[in-house]
Amino acid sequence: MARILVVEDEPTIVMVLQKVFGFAGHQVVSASNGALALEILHQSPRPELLLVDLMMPVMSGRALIETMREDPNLADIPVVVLTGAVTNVYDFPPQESYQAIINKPFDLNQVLKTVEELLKAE
Amino acid sequence: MNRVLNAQNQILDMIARGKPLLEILNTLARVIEEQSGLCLCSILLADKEGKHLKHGAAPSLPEGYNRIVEGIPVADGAGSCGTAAYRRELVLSADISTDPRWVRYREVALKHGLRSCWSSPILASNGDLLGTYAMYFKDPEDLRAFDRQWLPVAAHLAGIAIERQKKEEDLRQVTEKLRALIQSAPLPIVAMNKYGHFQDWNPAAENLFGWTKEEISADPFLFIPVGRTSDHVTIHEQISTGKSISGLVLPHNRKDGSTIDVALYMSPIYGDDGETDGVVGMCVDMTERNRFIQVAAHELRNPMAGVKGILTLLQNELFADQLEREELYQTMEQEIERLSNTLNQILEAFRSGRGEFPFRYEPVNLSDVVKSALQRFLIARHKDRFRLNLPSGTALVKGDFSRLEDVFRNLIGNALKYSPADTLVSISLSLEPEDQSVVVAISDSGLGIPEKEIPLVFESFYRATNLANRDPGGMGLGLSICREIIKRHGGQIWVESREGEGSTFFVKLPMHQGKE
Repeated sequence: MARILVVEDEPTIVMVLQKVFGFAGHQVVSASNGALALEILHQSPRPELLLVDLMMPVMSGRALIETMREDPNLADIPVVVLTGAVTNVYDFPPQESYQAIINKPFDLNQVLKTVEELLKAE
Repeated sequence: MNRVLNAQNQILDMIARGKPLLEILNTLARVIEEQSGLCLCSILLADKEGKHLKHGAAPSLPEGYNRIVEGIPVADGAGSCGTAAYRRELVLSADISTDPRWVRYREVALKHGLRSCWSSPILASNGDLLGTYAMYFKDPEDLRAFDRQWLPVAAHLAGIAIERQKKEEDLRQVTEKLRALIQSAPLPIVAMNKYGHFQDWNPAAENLFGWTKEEISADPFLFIPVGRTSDHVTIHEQISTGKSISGLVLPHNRKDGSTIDVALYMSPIYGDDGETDGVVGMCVDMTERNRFIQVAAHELRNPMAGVKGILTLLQNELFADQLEREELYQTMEQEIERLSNTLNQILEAFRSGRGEFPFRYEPVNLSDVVKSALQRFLIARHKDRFRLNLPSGTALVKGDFSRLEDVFRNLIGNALKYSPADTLVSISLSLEPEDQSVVVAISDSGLGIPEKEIPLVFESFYRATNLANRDPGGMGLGLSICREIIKRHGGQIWVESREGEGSTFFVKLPMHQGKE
């Protein structure tokens, strides 16, 4: 069982991911923007993996990922990027800063598979 | 014949050197008079409509006579000149005292001792009337004594001089119109010679890129991002072989350090030798359209991701609980409804030709909007420059979050840009219960705005004059768009500033009355 943080401002997507990971035996916490995600990341127990949307108000996915990578306490947490569109290149975090990328609308089985593989590698 | 050639060369030389028209015509008249020793020359110029003749050159005719002739009509019977201009043929009046065409001007001509007149129309190469060339004599007999070859030569030379001057004037006017058009065009227009130097760089281009013409001419690579030089070299090669570029989108650097996608529409300019001499064209900022497409895709994919996820859940036998299935079906229905609404909005945006979504008004906490706008400036270079006073309580307004965020991002960006790097920028938000509004103030300790320019800062293309040598880029269109956005929210935006002390920009929005 792992603790997974879903950073996404779409309630339906959060709900769906929560149910799927719940069935797979994981614990899911969620945040609707990067700033709220950082608050959760600084609490313990620390999440073991993040799923991060890019376009969010207040603090974008890119800003969150870049902040994490600069923080020695958070730099090693694997991140899966969820992207909603052929996003502007300037909204993308650097390629080496995340472990996987999944395009919306996604296939839940693929999301599950990607997450399980990353958790196993840890 | 030799004398004719000499006179002709002298006049052609003056034309070639671009001497003023009246000086050329006066010299021409004097040269002819010297050659003849008897005649007095008069050159009249046709007005634009070709209806009247105006004084051109008549160095030896009495002033009193010239005054009377000024403005005579181009008509049959209007003396030798009016008639010659009207009929477009040589008119010979051997004796003014008896010639019927001179009825109206006879008295004044005779008073000044003019007895006979020979007048030729001056015609342009396309046949348009340019004026008349006349030779007057004091004796009716003198006319015959003078070699008649002079008149067509003189009229021809006068024609060349007048036509040349007209063409130069036409060219000057066309150039002037073109320049005015380029300067005032809302589209960035640029022209570059074959050596890569910018000849035209209009205010819209300066506004888009932030660089002045001088800056970009000194270093044309300024707006080419690292690693993109080869794209521009390819364009250059394509242009030099005479091909045009239409709508090629390339990233470009702006002076403020950001990168924008610009669509290029470029055509070659040819030199006298038929070779490519340079390039002229327009640059269209794709940021807004790209953003529209990006937002549209985002808005469609999110509900789609939700629907697809729910479908997968429903297909899974583990979700057997009837109540839970019911809820999932309901959520799916809502998401499909949302998809359809978004699609309608996108179609509406295309139909209205605006290429933008209508403003989406919802209750937003203005404090969150300002924080979100601040986010991108919280990098090492700027993060210690802010003094914030954003109360934790809610400051609700009814507005479009991302549009308002654009406004504050613009104002914060300006405050940083137009003040020294070691000074603070303060941002404060306050509630004003007496008129039910929220006010955000953004102050800097920069150069300030000259008093007489304060009413202009929100106009398109305004650029602070006291920054001319420092940083003329950037401010132009931004503030006029900010004003437009705030106006559409029923709010106000204004600035208080003292030159040398700094500026404070205020945004005031009506408080949202309902509940969140």
